[in-house]
Amino acid sequence: MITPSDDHLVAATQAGQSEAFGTLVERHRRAVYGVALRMLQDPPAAEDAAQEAFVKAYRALGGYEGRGRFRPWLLTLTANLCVDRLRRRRGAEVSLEAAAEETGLDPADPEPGPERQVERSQLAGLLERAIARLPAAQRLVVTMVYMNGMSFEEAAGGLGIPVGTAKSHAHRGRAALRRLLSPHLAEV
Amino acid sequence: MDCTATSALLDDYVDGLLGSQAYCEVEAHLVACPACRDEVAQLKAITDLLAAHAEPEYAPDFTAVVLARTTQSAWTLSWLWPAGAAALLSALVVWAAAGLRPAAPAVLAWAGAAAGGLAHGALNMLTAAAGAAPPVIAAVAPALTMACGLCLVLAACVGLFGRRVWATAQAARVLMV
Repeated sequence: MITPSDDHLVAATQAGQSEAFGTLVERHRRAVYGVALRMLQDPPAAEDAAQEAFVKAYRALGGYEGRGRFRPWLLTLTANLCVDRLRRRRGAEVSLEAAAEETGLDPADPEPGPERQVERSQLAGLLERAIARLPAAQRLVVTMVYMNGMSFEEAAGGLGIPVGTAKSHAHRGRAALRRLLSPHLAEV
Repeated sequence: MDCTATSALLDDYVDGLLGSQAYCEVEAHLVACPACRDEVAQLKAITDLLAAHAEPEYAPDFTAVVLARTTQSAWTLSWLWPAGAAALLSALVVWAAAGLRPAAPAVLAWAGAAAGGLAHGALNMLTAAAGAAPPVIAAVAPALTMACGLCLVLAACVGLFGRRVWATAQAARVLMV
């Protein structure tokens, strides 16, 4: 059985087939929810934002013409929606230094002994916690580019920032994650 | 190329964004520099970890809720105004056919539109309660909405002018007899 492309499903949705949009939701909901959760840091709020993102996307599909780029378009829509929500509750960002303290990921403390034998699943948990502590802009671009395969141009275009700024956010975010997780990376 | 110059290019190197000349220069430096090689290895490890990282879990009924919200929104946009327009049109038809008082069409149109809107809201609530639009409800919704508007218009006609029509009919019967 041939799996329909995003463009095919978008065209079917535009023609009034709601089940086609259901398939699009199924296909992209994890990524959309992931972006929302990492931005908002609150599962119920992230779920509501992810749902709203799909509803907005559904309403905007009439004018959608980005052939082959549905996923970047959808994630950008989600990111902008979350940025709007974050603006309404300013002051939630935590510095990386505080993050290292809170998460127990102090690079100066390599935790020698058996505890250092971190399994990959545990490392994934540490990674999630470390991402959560990045400044919002870095968290957003890292999520879009490194976790969802968007190009810097797509992320920058969607967020309305220069490509150089997007790269700077991504690289700083990755450097911070590397600093926080370096004691555990040798175990991967 | 020394470590300082190389270090400034390592992010682009790992992301595959370097031109061929810069790429070759970085490669040449990495062969001779264990410290920069270690930095590249860690950047690649983080990048691979991010790319392979599973997205977090979400509510199992997520898709059903999204579809209910889109359906609800589509109904609101698609049927509220048509329902109101149908009610208004039916009121005007009744007015034109019966030659009623000038104030009658406004009353009837308002009543019909209100009935259509109420019926539409009730259907939306049903949809939200069900979590998704059952196909049967979705199929009959437009007709049901318009039927509600028409019924109320007819009821208003009977209420306002039924006595006059009844009296006219009685008079005609008497004359015939």
